[in-house]
Amino acid sequence: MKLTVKEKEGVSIFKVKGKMLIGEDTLVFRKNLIEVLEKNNKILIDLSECNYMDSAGIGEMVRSLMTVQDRKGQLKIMNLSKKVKDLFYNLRLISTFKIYDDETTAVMSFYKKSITKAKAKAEAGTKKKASTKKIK
Amino acid sequence: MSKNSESISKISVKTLVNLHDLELVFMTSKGNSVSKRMTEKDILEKLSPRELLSIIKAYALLNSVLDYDELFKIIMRMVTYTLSSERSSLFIIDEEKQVLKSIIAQGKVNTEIIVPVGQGLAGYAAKTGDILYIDDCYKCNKFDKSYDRTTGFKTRDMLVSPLKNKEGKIIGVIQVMNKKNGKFTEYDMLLLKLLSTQIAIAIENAKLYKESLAKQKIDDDLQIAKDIQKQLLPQVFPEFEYVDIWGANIPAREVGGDYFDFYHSEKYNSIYFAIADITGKGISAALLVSMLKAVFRSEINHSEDLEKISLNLNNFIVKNTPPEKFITFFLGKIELENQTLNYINAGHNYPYFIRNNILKPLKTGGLPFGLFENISYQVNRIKLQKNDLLFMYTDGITESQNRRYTQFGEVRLKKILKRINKDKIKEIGDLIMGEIVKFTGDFPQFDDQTILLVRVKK
Repeated sequence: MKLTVKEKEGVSIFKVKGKMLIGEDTLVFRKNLIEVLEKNNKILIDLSECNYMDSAGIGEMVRSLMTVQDRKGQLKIMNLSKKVKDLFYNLRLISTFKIYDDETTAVMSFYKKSITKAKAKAEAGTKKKASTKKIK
Repeated sequence: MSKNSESISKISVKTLVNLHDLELVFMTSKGNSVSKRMTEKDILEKLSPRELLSIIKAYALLNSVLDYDELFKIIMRMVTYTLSSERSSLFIIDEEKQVLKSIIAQGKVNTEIIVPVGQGLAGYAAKTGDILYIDDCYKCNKFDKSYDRTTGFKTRDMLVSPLKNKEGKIIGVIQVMNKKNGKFTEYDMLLLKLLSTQIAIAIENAKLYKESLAKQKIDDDLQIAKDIQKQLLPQVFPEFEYVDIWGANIPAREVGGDYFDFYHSEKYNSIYFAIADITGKGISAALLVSMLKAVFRSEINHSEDLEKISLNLNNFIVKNTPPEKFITFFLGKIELENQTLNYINAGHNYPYFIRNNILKPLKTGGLPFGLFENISYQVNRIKLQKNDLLFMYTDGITESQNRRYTQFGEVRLKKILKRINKDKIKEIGDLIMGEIVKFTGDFPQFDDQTILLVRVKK
């Protein structure tokens, strides 16, 4: 396994190349994730070039998800190969993760919620104002 | 060398070009270096029979000891004696930490000395690979007097030699202190060089021997673990009145992470059975197998409700394993009273239900055990008929590979299951396992392989 970490629009993208297997691979992944989480809790895992994962690799994905959620962050996955997708599917894990098919949508999705939230807040604000006016 | 002692002040460095030619470099107090070259012929002519004999004796002694700690003591004693000196100490390089460790300081006080590579005289020899002769240590700025202060020993002159293994890598340093009746000579230097080669070989041999002993110990422990694990999985398959049950497990290593079990509960008039695959292989997975068996047996004795059993099993595993560990688990219960199969599937491969040679994968289920707490699993029910067969397996079966890296796969498995025409459950099981062996040939097995079959008799 080869792991690279880059940042795009405030999202840390972990790219896994090759096979992710029990032992060193999962430990390297864990170590890097913990380091990145010191600064950023928006994590995107790019599995486009990961052609195989054993159960320990899958377990590490779940562990990572929980670690990120514990720190009030978000973890998403993108571009699963067929083999890896089947694994997630067979273990019924496919709905546990938020999975995307391209980088732009995946990166944007980290901000979608806050945009809609901000919008909702703004709308609620105007409504509140309006109601106050009414009372007056 | 003793003749030149007045002119040699700080440190005398020599380089051995090869085993046969010796080039000595002396540094004078005025900073001039004087070198002297000796050929093999010179050396052989000038070595006394006593010195030659002592080398032969030392070689024999070094070859006779394999115990690591014993060897160190012998090296010190032998070097001290052969070079007619007062004391010697041996340092071994700790590659990882880049320090030299003295195993034993000979004499009355045994203190452990740790010197960084490159520092002090021993550290210098370890770094450069040169043999050093120090005429008067107290005049040499590289000499650390603090060890003398702690031990009460007074070092006068000293020889320092690196220990190189067969590949030429420096594995340690030996220091010889205080020549009795005079000063160390060029021949002492040569003698130490010759001994150092053999000392290095002896140390490496002892190290290898120590490692092989440690490995043997691990192998023995593994064998014990293997025996224990064998006991955890069913070895005999009793004949029940209503069903036959048969299973097989072949771990990829000595111990494995697959599990199967069955249990006839008179209390609930039911037969429980389960197959499971645990993350990883080897010891770590095997430890979880033993935990799983204990908690599984305990749960089925306390409840007949599969929903409750699976909820408890999952929560127990979540709480008692690291977050990345999980277990895929298929649990079945045959109620003998109404001849019904109840089952839940926690992320395990779909088992095949075979009735009248028609295969039906049981495609329901939820997440594996051990990942998230408080998950509820849906219980499914099938009313059983005579000759119904349930085939359960772990992914080591379908993912077993042959020499061309082709996987056995579900297609081949389904083909075999469809044409089962045998009556005895053991024969069916043997047939399937036989097909796997036929397919994989001599290609090594990477994952644990387990199957479990349940067949309705009437």
